[in-house]
Amino acid sequence: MSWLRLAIANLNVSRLTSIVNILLMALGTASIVALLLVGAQFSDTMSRDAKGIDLVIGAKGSPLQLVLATVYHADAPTGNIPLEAATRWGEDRRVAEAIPLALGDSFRGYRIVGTTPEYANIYDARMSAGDWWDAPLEAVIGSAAAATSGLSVGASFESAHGLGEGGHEHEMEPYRVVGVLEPTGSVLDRLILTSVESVWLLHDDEHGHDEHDHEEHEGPHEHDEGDHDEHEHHHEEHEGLHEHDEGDHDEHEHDHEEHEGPDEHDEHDHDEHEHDHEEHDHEDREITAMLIQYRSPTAAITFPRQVNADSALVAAAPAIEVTRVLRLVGAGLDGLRTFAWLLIVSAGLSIFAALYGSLRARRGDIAMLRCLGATRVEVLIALLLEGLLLTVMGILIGFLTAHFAVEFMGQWLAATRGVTITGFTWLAVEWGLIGGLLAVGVLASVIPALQAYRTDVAKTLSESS
Amino acid sequence: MHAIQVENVRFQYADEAGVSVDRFDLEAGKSVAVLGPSGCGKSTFLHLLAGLLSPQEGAIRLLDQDLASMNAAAVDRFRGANLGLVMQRLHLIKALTVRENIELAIKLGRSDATAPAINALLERLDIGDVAHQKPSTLSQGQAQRTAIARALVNTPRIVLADEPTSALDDANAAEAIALLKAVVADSGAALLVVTHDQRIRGTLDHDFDFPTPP
Repeated sequence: MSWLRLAIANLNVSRLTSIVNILLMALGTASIVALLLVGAQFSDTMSRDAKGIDLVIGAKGSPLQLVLATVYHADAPTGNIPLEAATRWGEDRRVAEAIPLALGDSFRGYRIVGTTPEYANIYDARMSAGDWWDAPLEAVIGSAAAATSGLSVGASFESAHGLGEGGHEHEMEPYRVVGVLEPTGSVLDRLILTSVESVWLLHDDEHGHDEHDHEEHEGPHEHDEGDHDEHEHHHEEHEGLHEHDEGDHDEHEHDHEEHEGPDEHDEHDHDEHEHDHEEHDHEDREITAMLIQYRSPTAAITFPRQVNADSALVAAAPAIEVTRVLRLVGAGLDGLRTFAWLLIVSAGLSIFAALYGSLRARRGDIAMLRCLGATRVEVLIALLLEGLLLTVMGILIGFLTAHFAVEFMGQWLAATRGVTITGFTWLAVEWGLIGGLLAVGVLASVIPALQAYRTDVAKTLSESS
Repeated sequence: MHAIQVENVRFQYADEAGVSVDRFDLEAGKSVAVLGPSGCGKSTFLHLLAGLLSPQEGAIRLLDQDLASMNAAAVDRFRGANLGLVMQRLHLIKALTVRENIELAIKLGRSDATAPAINALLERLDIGDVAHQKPSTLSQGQAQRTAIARALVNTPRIVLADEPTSALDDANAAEAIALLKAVVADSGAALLVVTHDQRIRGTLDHDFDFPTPP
C-alpha cells in the first residue's frame, strides 16, 4: 500500500467528479500546448523562409503583399518590374547577392519560380536526384511538390497560368524535370524552380499562341493601354501581376521610355510577339521581384530608402514584414491562450472544490490515518497527491491530445496546403508550462491539504463517536 | 514492566469539563476496562494515552517512554509502531478493501508484517473470504473484526479500544472482547478498553472506574 495507491483509491470513490476534473485540466492544457506548438512553428517557419533575404525589390504596392508573394509564396505578387531597373539595384556595391524571381505559372497548385540556382542556396538546398537546369523549360522541383505530384527526374509536365490551381495549361511548352531537391523544411519544398528565361519563353509564346484566356492568369504580364481593348472585360478577375489602375500607369510612365518589353503591351500588337525570342534584349524583360542579400548590415539603413525614393519600385524588408505578421497573429494567439488559461484556472478551482468538498466526508478517515501513525505532514502530502494526481493526469492527456492533434493537423496541412507543422516536436517552453500547470494543481490542493494537516484528531474522533 | 503509567494528569478543554487522573498503571500483558458514563472524559483519557492530545499537567509514560519528551512527529511514529487503536466508529477507509486497510496500517506503522502474517490474521478473525471487499459490503461483525485486524497487524505492545462493543448486541460484544483478549494474550500486549458498556465489567483483568469530574 503506497500513498499513490491510497490517492488513486480515494479519487476512485468519486470517479465522475475526478474524470470531469481531469478532462477540464486536459482541455485547458491541450489548448495551450496546441497554440504553443502552432504559434512557435508558424513563427519558426516565417523566420526560416525569410532567412538570408534582407530585402525584396518589387513593383509598387503593399510591402507585406510583396513579401508574402515572393518570400512565402502565399499571396499574389504586386506586379512586375523591369529587369534592367532591378538589375541596376542588384549590382549596387552594397549588395552581395541579387536573385531574380519571375512568377506567374504553377503546376497543380505548386508555384513555378523562374530564378537562378542561388535561390536554392538561401535554404541550403541540396539535390537529391538529377542536377540544375542547362536550358529553358527544364525544372527542378522541391521535395513536397515532387512527393505530391509524383514527378521525378525525366518527367514532363505542362504548367498552367496563374499561381493557384485551375489555370489553363501552356499546352505547347511542357517542362522537363531535371532535378529534385532534398527536403529543407522551408517554402522551397513546395516550389518548382526553373530559369527566368523559361518563364519569359512561355509567356512570349503565350502571346503568340495563347491569347484566348487570361481570366485566371496571374503571370508576369502588364497590360497597359495596348491590351485594354482585348482584356477590359476580364479586369475584375485579374490578380497579381496585372496592373490596370490609373495610379499605376502614372507611376510607370517614366519607365516606359526606357523599357518597352514584350510583356508590356504598350503599343505592340500581338503579331509582333511572334518573332524569335532572341530578339528580346535584356532591357525589355521583366521579373516579379529581386531578392537582395546585403554585403553589410549597414546597408539596411540607406539602401531600402534609396530604392523607394529613386524609382517606381518598392523595397520591402522581410524581417520587418514578418514581425508585423507575427504581431498580428500573436495578438490572436494571445487571446486564445488567455482563454485556455481560464480553462486551466477553472480546472484548478474545480479540483479545489472537489477536494475541499470530499474533505468533510473524509475527516474521520484522516483522523484514522493519524491514529495509525501518519504524521501531519504525511496527511498533507496525501491530500496534495490527490490534487496533483488529477492535475498530472489532465496534463498528460492534454499534452498527448495536443501533440497528436497538431501532428494530425500538420499532416493535413502538408497534404493540402504545403505547410510544415508537426506535433512530434518538443518546445523548451513546454517544460515551463508543465511547471505552471503543476503549480495550479498544488495551489488547488494546498488549502484542502492544509485543512487535513490541521485536523484535530481527538475532536474529530469524539464528534464521530 | 509497565505498559502504561499515568501520574497526576490534568487536561482541560477551553470551555468543557476536563480530565483529572492522579495515578493509573497497566502492566504489559494485562487488560483493563475503563468504565464510566458518557461524557465523563474517558475517551479524552484514551486520546491522551494515544498521544492525540497533550496534558496540561502530569506525565504519561508508555513502554517507559515519556510522551512529553517526544516531538509531534515522533509521537505519531511511536503510536503507529507500538499502539493499536480500535475506535467506536471503525473508520475503515471506504476506498480500500479489507486487505488494503490492513496493509495501510502496516505502512503507517512502519511495520515489517508480511503477507503470510496478514493472511493468518485474516483467517484467525474469519474475514479471509472478504479480504478483497470494500467496507461498505461488510456486515457489522466483519467490519468490527477488520478494525481489530488493522489494530493488531503490527503486533502492538498496547491496544487501546474506545467503546468497541457499544453498537454490538450481546453475542457480538462478547465475541469482540474475547477476540481482543485472545490476540493480545498471544502477543503479550496490554489491553485498555474504554467503555460505558457495563457488560464489559468483570470480563478483563481489571476494572477502572473513571473518576467523574467535579
